[in-house]
Amino acid sequence: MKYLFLTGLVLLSLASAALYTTQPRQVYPYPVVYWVTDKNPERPRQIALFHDWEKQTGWLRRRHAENPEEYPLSVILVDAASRDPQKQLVQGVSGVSGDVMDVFSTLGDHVFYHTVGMLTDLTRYGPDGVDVARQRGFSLEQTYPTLGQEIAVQVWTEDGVEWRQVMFPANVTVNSLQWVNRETFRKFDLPLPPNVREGFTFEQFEELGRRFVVKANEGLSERQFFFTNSVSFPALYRSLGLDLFNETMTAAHVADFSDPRNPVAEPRFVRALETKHRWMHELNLIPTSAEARSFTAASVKFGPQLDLFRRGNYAMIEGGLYFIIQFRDFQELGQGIELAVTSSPHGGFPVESIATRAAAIYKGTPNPKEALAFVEFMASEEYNRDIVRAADALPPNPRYTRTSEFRTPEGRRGLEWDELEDGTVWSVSEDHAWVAENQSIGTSFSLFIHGREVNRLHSGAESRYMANALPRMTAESIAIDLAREINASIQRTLDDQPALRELHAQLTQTQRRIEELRARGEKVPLEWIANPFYRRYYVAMGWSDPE
Amino acid sequence: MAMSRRTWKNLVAGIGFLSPNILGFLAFTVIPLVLSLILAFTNWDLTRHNIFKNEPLEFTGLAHFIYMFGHPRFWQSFWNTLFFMMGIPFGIAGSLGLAMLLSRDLRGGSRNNGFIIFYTSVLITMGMVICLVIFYMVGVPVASMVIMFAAVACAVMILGTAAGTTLYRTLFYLPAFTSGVAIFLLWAKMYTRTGPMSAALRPPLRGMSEAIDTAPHPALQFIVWLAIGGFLFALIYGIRNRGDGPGRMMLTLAALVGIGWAVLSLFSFATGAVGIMTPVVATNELLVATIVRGGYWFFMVLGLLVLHWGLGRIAWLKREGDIGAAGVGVAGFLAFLPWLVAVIAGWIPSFDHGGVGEILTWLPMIPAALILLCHLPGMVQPSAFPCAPSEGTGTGIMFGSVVLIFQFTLIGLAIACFNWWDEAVTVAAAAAAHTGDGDVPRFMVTPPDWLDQAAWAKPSLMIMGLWAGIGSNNMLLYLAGLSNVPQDLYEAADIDGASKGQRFWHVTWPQLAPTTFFIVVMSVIGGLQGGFEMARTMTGGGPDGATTTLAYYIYTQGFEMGRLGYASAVAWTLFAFVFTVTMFNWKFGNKYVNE
Repeated sequence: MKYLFLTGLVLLSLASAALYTTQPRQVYPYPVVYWVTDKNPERPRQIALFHDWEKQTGWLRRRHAENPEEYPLSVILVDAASRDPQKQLVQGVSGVSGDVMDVFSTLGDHVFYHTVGMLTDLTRYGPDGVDVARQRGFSLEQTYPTLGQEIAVQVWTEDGVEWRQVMFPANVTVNSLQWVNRETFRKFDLPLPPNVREGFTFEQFEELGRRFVVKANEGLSERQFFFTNSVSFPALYRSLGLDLFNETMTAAHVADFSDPRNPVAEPRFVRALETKHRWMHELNLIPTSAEARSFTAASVKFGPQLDLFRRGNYAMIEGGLYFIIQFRDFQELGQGIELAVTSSPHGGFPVESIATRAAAIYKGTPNPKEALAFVEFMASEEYNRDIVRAADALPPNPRYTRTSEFRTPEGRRGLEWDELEDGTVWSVSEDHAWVAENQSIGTSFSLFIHGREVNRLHSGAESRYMANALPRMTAESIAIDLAREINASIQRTLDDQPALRELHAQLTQTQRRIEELRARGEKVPLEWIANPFYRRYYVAMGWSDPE
Repeated sequence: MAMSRRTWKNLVAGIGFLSPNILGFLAFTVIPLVLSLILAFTNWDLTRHNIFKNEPLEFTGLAHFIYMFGHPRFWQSFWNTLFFMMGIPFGIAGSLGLAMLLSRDLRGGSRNNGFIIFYTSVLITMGMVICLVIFYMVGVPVASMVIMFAAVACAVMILGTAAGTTLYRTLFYLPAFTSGVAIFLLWAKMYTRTGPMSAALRPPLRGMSEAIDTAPHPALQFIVWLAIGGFLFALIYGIRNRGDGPGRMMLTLAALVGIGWAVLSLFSFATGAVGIMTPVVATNELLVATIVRGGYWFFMVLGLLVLHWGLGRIAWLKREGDIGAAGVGVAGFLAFLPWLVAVIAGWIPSFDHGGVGEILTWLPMIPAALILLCHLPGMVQPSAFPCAPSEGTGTGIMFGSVVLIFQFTLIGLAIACFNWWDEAVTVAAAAAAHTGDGDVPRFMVTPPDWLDQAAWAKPSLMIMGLWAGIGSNNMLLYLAGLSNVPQDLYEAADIDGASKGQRFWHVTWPQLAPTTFFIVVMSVIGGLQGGFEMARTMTGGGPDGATTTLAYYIYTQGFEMGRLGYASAVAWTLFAFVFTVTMFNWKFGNKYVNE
């Protein structure tokens, strides 16, 4: 029996060895770079494009030309199984992550990954600390200015606060814009919402929305038509001049705890919350979360929402340019939609949310230079033009949205839309690009609290109020509870990480000075403000001078 | 004595072959376990301690534990875990009932059961055919989901008459060997507003709303309550006096009415108010409407009855000398705790009218307090059979816990009925305002938003858990346990003239005590550790943390926030809790097993 077991052991060992030798890094005679990204049919094409680019213009070209045997070109392999953020984290801290990883900026995972130390610092790269991003042409200047916090993180050095770039966008999107189905508005004989340049005020939204739902649901016993599927809540309170965090990102800004015994909810937050609640429950312009997910429809990309939008159950739908992937499928099925775009409703200061899927380099990569080359490729003209051609996202560099290629359909897909006199996909893309450059602001990520924690608390507070979860709950109590929880979590981080206390203390001091200056009506130096929303808001209000 | 060379060789070979397993166990279980215990007292945080950052690890003592006990999210998760565990007794009872059913021979022709099932299925199938004919002739929209479920049920029953218990056992065990994630995704779909749960509920609820709106409710409701009371009286009287003629007659009458009404209701559920089904539908709507409308009071009264029974039983145990002062104190406290929690936690809803309406819902608190006061003398009076103060403490805790769970369930149901009613008024008002239609009922009872409402998310997951748990390993264990009950005990009971109920209580139940004990221990451990997959797959721990259990909380803290030290501290606290509860079960539960 023991010889049988021994034979089994030997066979298993041999099988393991055989498996090891078939691993890509053993098989390919040149470096293998794993790209942790989503399962997207575009990726193989983009990789092929990278290989072409690498041969023609890449940094490896010279060395490769000199000695192709010793300096072979790299190969990129997609790892679509490790996109889960928790998986990325665990693999990262275990030293086995992919070389290049996609990170969606909306939840601030990049800030956390950087704090963990698993992302390569592109501003202080290598032992010499060179600004490799600037040197190689993929710095912040090569993308949308408002993406600063989405791809860079705040660090505390002996010289004070610095921003360090850790990623570069693979593509860009404005998530909070409202797509408009022109046919739906025409069907109910209603005017189209204003375009993005004009803006869509709370009052206009409410007035048009009310007319729509009354007309569309006439004679129905249950609501089947809604003005839109969703409205970004942060866009609402931001449009009233308020952000979740204060100017220095050291505390929550939605309630005032000057007198800890009698905290006061921020009225703008309360107004935003009550406004959305009214739209959802009184005017029925927006479905409740249960209504939204309970609609049954054909299974399409991004869930049934887009099919409902096509059929007119939603007159508008909130989302980014990536919806075009599905709109294109509709078009191929002969179910094309006449599209337009309008902004999310605003209370005086139009603002949208910009986000990115960005590529970061894993600090423990065995192929740092090849990984760097791949990120560099994302800033290249070839890659940007490819994103423009694909037409389902904004290119990383806004310069390419001003090209004739972006503004005309030649060389791009979905030509049928261009036949429409007005509201072509091209005008829609242009609207997105215009908003990305002029009206959008990234999410505020504080160094002192994990973005996922903020998201959980923020969405919990919003959903609690929207679902009428507690009997004696008010918008004020929601705001105070949210601020209290965020501040407690920040305090927890400071307790855990003494290294951050000094930074927090200094920034809190700066915050006081900002408030003093504001109280006196004086201008605030823009460099004091870390919060991306307030940086733009202060300039817009004339409270700070632009840089 | 020195080992021979051959023994040495055998020993080395044995260890060699065992070593992969031992090394695996050490590497993936023992060492991580020890490390996590150490981590719980350190500041290990992924942001500072990983392969890229090597800050010195600091001993933090009990800091994590102190923080944990002061953190509301921990307590929310803890409470959620306990809430889910309240389903355990119901699950165990379901498993036992199922096992008893499935321990019978259900094949057609073998015994009466087979005939009963066969003819019932034929009857229902015929009913369904009639329904379909009615639909065809009258053109009433088909309640397709109901028809489909009924047809599947019929098919199963007909097949069951041929295949016997094997088929049923396999079907009921199906959830246990189906992937958890697959089940959760299926239920997530079922819980959507257009899913079968809501789709099946919507038509009768709509009819009920209209019935409430049109019925002259005070008189009719009074009659309905009289009918319910009469039915329950006949049932209880019949069960208690089934030995004599009138009792048997009452029981038969109640059974006939109950079963007949259930069959008619099933048909009417599928057909709607058509032809002869119209009065059935109307009466059912009125019945359900009355229960929902009076549900708050109905369940509160039931809760008070359970309190009364529980405290009376504690006093009796004291009087009999089964439990001492400590046991009485703990049991009494646990039995009354739900009412205290309901008041302190602000669960009691109010009619929002101000004045009398504001305090009306608080009325049950008065009899609850009076019941406690009435039983206090009995609970504190000296026993004729004195025992040590600590005697029977375990019994007190276990009994008190059972009473507590039942009362929590009933109070919860009462509040759910109230809120449901309240919402019905709000929804109707919104619908009327929205459509501008005067015909909209003043009450619109709609199916709940199962997973999207904080109040419903936990019960929804509990229902799913019950469905999956009843036919699980517990059922198999009970089946095995039932097959081991000596037949001579039943024969002895028969000779003594024991009824079926007495056979169960005095033979089956005590003989199953070891099995029940094992199931309780394992279910409690599983309950305390559970909830992760459900939360991760179906709700993400929401809405607003309503379905975040301790297991999911540990996961988020450890692998989302990177606080491995803190997560370890919570995990070890959970372990300590599980260990304590298990030891408690072992100490006090085992006693009944061995008696």
